[in-house]
Amino acid sequence: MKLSPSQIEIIDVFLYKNNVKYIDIKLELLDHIASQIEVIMSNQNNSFEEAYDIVTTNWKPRFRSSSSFIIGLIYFFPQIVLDRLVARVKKYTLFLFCFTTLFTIPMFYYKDYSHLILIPFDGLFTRLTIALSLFYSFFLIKINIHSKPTSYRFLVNQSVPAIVFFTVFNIMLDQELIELKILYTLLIIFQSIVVFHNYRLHISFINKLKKE
Amino acid sequence: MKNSQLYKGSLNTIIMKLLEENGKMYGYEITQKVKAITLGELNITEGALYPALHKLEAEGLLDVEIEKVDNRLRKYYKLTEKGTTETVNRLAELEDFIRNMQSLVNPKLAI
Repeated sequence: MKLSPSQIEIIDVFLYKNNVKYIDIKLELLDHIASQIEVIMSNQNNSFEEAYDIVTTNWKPRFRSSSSFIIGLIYFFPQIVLDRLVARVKKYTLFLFCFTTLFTIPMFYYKDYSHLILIPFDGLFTRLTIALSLFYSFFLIKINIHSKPTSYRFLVNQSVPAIVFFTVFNIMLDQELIELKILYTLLIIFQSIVVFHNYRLHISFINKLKKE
Repeated sequence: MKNSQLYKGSLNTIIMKLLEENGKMYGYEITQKVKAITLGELNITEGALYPALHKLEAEGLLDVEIEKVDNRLRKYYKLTEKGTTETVNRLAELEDFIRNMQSLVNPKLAI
């Protein structure tokens, strides 16, 4: 038994009310729930409403609102959405944490030597930071104009505070803190690579959607 | 999932094996296939399935395709080239694990 467009719409509203708004996640959950409802209607001769109640009740625990340190404690998502976002950024976050720790300690330990080598490049780091911020702004604007929300788009937008923070501090920092400036520049480079990667995934997904 | 602690570690390999055999599959189809093969013994819940699929996708082992089916869009998963290679490695690892477990749990059968 196949569901009608209006019955599919009811499931869509259910997902929306449970804060599943990113299209890349929503369409597969909608299909899963619709498939379960169809099977119950066929096997147990239930009406759509009865099957819908059974299935959505089972799904409720998956939509419990949660947040994660990795994504940012200010963002709350249904557990099933949060798991996807965490899966996307977990490795990158761990890498950044290890890199920052391993890079910062020796730089500050051998401050006298690193200062002499790095100070001539001070202007270069500032210009590089500004260039990367402009590069980031371009993709930020492009991804948010006339585009459906996806989990990839959220990850691009979520980088805003970090990029703004690193850019502003890099411009303001004195030469005496050149080590910190280099660290921020490298973090912006990594962040820009991740932003570009998520931007490409977003565009690729939207293109796949357009084909259908 | 039944005996979740025992099966949890093998879930990704199970999914990859199914995709290797069937080409492309969607979420609900994977749960039903596992249920059918194990005669209802193993029931993969959505709470376990989608995080596993999303993790494999994030690792670049799976790719997605979208098709319109029965008034809705359906997301199919399939193995990437990297995923196909990784499936062989993970299956070999799982088989080793099963053999070792057999030796430990039932040494007579293992001989």
